[in-house]
Amino acid sequence: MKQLVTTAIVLGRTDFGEADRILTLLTPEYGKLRVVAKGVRRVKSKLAGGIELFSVSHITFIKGRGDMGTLSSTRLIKHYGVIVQDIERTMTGYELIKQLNKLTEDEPEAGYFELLQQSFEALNEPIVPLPLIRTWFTAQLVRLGGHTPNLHTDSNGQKLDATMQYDFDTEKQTFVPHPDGGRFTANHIKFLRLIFAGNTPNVLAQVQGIGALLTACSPLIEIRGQFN
Amino acid sequence: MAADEQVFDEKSQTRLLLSVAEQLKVPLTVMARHAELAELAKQGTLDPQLIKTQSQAALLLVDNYLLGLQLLAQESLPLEPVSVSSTLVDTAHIIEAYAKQYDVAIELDIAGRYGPVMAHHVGLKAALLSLGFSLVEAAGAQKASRRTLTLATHRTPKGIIAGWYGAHDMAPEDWRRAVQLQGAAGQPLQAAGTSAAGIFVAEALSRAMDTKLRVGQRARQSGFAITLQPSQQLQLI
Amino acid sequence: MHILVIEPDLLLGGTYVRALEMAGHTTTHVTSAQEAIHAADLRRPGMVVLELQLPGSNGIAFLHEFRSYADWREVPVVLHTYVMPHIQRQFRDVVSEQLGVVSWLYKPQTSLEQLLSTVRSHTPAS
Repeated sequence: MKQLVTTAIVLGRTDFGEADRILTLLTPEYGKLRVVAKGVRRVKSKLAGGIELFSVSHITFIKGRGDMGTLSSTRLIKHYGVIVQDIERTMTGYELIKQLNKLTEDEPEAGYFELLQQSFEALNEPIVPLPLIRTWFTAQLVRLGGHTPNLHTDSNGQKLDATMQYDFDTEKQTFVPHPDGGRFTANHIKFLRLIFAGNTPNVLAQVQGIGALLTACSPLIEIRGQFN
Repeated sequence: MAADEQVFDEKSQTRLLLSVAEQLKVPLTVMARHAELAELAKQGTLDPQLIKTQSQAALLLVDNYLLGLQLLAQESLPLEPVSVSSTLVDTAHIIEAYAKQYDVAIELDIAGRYGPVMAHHVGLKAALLSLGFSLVEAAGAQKASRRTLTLATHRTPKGIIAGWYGAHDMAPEDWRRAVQLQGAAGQPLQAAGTSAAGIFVAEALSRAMDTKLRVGQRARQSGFAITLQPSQQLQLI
Repeated sequence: MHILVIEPDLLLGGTYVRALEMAGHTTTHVTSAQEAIHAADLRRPGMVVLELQLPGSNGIAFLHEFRSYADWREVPVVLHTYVMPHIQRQFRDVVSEQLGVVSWLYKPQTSLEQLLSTVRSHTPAS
């Protein structure tokens, strides 16, 4: 039987019989995988190691006949240990894992693996604020779902103007010119373009005035996320 | 910007205060619950040594924190020749009883002869004590084989290094992140389940003395250390 | 009832252990999440008293691991923590529902009597 190699992030673990564990993994090549880790007794079940949460690992597995593979070996590539030093970052990490676990089907989707890995990178960096990570995550789900809002032309089909102010029409999902005082300016639109272009939270955290930009733009992204 | 290059501004002061306030919960809770247990048990379970060491830890944390702020507020700090080895011996002596409560062994390593260093004597002792109390508390939560801390000094091309080693594995990157988590997260250091305020107080004191607290390595152990400059005064005689 | 006390401070853990044992329980005291998994494996606890802030990990990570084992899924967990109530409130509902936490205690303001009373009130009827 062929041994396959990939990188993986653990989405969840359950026990299986007396000595085995079932791991639900997210991988770039094989999407969501379920593998049995045989003979991993509880005493050896480590909260630190190649198969713990908030880690990226190299795994070798044998594809089974059904939808369950067998894990042969793991090697830790990176453990995002800073996440567990802060309760709120831990909770956010679990929320994001849970969201992705619900969303991902058993199809290869490298984008979701990268999304979760970049999320861990951001959570592991204390200077990246949690609201930015949450909003960014929702935006990436929107992007991966193919529902990026129109950030280039307005409701009249005109190119967005750097001197104009806009409101956002949630029904039509487009910016509407509002010269007398719209909520969104060129800075907001630039920020949205940065987010939807896939820039990481670690990069976005460097943007000046990030707090105010996030406050203004988050509702737009959250609403977009509900359409996903 | 590296952790040690950040300015000690108002935000840093607030974070340090938050850290110290969080940390004070620990000895106060230990004493309160211990007293309550003695009441519940009704028969002589009160341990005066526990009350003494915990209150000493709390009071020293407050005093060293205040000292750090006061020294930082001074434009220039008068430095004097200080014997590193005597300071280490004093520090170990003060911390011994506290370490015993946590089943942590303290070892001294003052190999070699060292002339005096130019330092602020009170500040240096306060920094080493702050570090020590914090690391003892963290070491107490480790498995028995890892409950030894070494208070050591050694010479390097950069100066005389004095510090604590042994409680945990730590890299400079871990310290950078810990500084960023200080006052914002309940456990900025991997090895500690608390705010590890003593280490941040030591950092403030080091800064006041115009030196840096760094993550260092000694005999394959990691720890925290301060770099001091040898006194040139005796060479003039 | 056998109670697993997960408390990083040796002295505080010792105090809780003595109080619980005076109340008629047996206890195991551990200072870390990994030790807790090991201890629970050696002797199944009837209840866990858990500090959220743990060296190298935290109580949430521990609970996710703990609950992934079928025979530990119903063990009641009392959170007894330094994490302040206003921060606890942010994720209390989610954690209680998903991770089976039956009680939230703020450690500095919780007397031994209150801890014992909480343990009593969540002790399964034998």
